[in-house]
Amino acid sequence: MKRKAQMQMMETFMVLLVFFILLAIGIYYYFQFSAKNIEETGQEVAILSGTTLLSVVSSMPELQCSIRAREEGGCLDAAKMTIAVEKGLFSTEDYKPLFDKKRVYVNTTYPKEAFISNKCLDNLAYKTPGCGLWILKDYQFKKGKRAVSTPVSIYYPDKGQFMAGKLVIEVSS
Amino acid sequence: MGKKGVADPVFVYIFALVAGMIILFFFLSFSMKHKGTANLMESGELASGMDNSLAAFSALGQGEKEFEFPFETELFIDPGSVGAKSGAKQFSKPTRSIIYSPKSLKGKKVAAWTIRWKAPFSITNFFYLTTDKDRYFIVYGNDHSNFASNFMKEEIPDKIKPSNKLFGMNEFSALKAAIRASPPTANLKVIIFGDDVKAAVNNQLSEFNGKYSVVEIIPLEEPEDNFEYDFGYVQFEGEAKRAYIGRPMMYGGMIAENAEYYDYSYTQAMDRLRNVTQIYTEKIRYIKAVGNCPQTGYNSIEGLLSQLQSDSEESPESVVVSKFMNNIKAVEDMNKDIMGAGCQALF
Repeated sequence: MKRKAQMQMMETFMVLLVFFILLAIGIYYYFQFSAKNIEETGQEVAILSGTTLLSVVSSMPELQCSIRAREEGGCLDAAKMTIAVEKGLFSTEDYKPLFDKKRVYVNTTYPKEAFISNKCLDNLAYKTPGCGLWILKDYQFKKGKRAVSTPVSIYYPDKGQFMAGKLVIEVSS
Repeated sequence: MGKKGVADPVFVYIFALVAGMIILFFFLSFSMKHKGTANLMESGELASGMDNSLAAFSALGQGEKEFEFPFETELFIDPGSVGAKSGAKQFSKPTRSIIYSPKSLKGKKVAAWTIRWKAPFSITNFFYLTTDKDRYFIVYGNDHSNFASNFMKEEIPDKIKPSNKLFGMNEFSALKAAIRASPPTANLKVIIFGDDVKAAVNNQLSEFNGKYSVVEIIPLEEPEDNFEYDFGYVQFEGEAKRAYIGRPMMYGGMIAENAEYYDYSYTQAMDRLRNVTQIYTEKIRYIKAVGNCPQTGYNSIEGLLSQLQSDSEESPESVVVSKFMNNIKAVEDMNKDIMGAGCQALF
């Protein structure tokens, strides 16, 4: 009889053990699935905020060009961008909520020949920090990154000239 | 029951009860934690979504819109952060947006309005948020009747308008009726234009004491009884006067939760003013060498920008509004003069 009771106890424990093993496997896969979902949501949010940022950056008074006291949409002022880069403006605490963990830059796409080595604009001011490339906010991505971009026009106030460019925002993927 | 080795049924029942309770507790705590996480994610998405929407909204420069939620939602606007509450979980996200609103926005709809703040060049966007639970009663003195009617007709956008009601000095019975008709949970604010109105409001609305808050707008007085509504002071109950620079900041004073929230937004706005002014000061060196333009205009505007910088460093309680106003106007005039001389404008 003692043996029978032990068997009964063992059975109960085995049932419980199997139940908990199955439960643990279920929970493990459930959490893996949830974690993947959260990661995907995070990526979607990052891409969405990058896309939002494209329109925000191109209309920021700190960068937007104004011609004869009239603001131009989708147009960035080359002088303002150069100053912002020199001052490291967008790496300051004030801009952190907007630019945190993002790399933001503008490059000229046309005309290309104007920005090759010594053929950079003769105004030496634009040679720093680079000819036709403004890294407004730098960030070193530990994992992968994804980029969103939009075409912009770049206005050189000292020349009164426009050039075509691209505003690029990189977010982690 | 004297048989050795036979499991006592009572023991089996107790064992089953304990095991059942453990399993039940496990599932309950799991589901509670899951609910908590889901609520936190939901409030996080709401707060982030709101912040992103406001940022995207600012790209328009000026506009109004209504945020609609599928269920009753509570948003919290604190200095420097946007928060949302779902279930028992609250999530706050730092924001760069300068938001004027009551501290708590509860409802299925939030009306939003944005305009660009200029001094005299564009600095940043201000956002104004209200719900249908917020009621603003604007009471104006006789000297301000023209402004008040234009203000409601032309300046306040349609989506914000339902929260605002306008009353003249002889319309206190209508004002009392409007206060009585407001829901008990409504956030009531009386906005005063005119010295003579303040005492009258205190007398006439004494029966509603504690149910509403008061904010007084004191525009700068010009000769011949004219008022400069773009610049002046805003005074919250029991607080010292604070400066407002530009009409968008005046609207901010009308909507802001209290003096502390107003001061935070003022400081944020002035930080941005300094950033943009610094950029324009540096930009002068790029454009002053162009063509045969006289250097005097650029030198003068450089000096004025430096004065704007120092004005922006003052606190809202200590800044001299008339001086600030004159500097802003002088920068604008000087830019026009530079343009008029056929030279490259600064902005």
